[in-house]
Amino acid sequence: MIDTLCDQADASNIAVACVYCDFNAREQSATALFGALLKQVVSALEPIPDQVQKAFGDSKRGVGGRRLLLPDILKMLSKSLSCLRRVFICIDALDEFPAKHRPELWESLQQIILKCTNTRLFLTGRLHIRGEVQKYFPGSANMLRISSGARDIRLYLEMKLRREFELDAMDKELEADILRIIPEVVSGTYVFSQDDEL
Amino acid sequence: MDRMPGVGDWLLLTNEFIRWNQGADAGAKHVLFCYGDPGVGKTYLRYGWQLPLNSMDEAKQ
Repeated sequence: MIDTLCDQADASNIAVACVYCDFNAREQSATALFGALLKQVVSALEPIPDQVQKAFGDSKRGVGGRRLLLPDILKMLSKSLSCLRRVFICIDALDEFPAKHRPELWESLQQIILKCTNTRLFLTGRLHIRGEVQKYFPGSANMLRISSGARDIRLYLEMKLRREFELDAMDKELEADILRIIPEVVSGTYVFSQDDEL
Repeated sequence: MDRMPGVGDWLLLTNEFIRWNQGADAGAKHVLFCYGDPGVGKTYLRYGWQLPLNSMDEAKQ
């Protein structure tokens, strides 16, 4: 799916770069995360602009074979982003990114959107990350609460019922009950917890 | 990715999403943060992105 997006994006000078955070990942640092984003954004550039090639060459010489440092990566990322009309950066599950490294991640993202106004950040995470987003992006972040809506649950159940149940174990009445009761119960739980938290 | 078509499309119609996706660069809200409990489908949302990218291009042409 992401590949399809990128195919479309290439033609119109738009790029999409996505990374996700995972508790179980071996190395989770701002350097690794922005390195992955840089790789994706550069691969959307055809040809790779001279200034990006030059920045890459400079960093290679400067660090003498060591791995790139975060400031170099951010510099190259800003240059690469500026070559595109619009870039969407998605970072999924920020709550799984180590808390001790998160300030560095937020500050780097702040730099990016300040320098590259054509860039949009799509971030996801659990509720407790919301305060950090507000702190680091005052006035520049929209917040959306995601829940499993009754309509979505119903669509999913209809598909499952169509595909996966033994015909003789199902009758119309049971099917109607499943489609009525499960979405009501699940979305009802959501309304309650939303009131509870807000 | 095993994603049910149509699920989560409501997000694309919210004002928050539209402003974030189509707003001019100057003064735009550059960050869209989607939060929620484990398992509600935050990760699956971004797989529904073909629609907004297409519509944005059409609007600009």
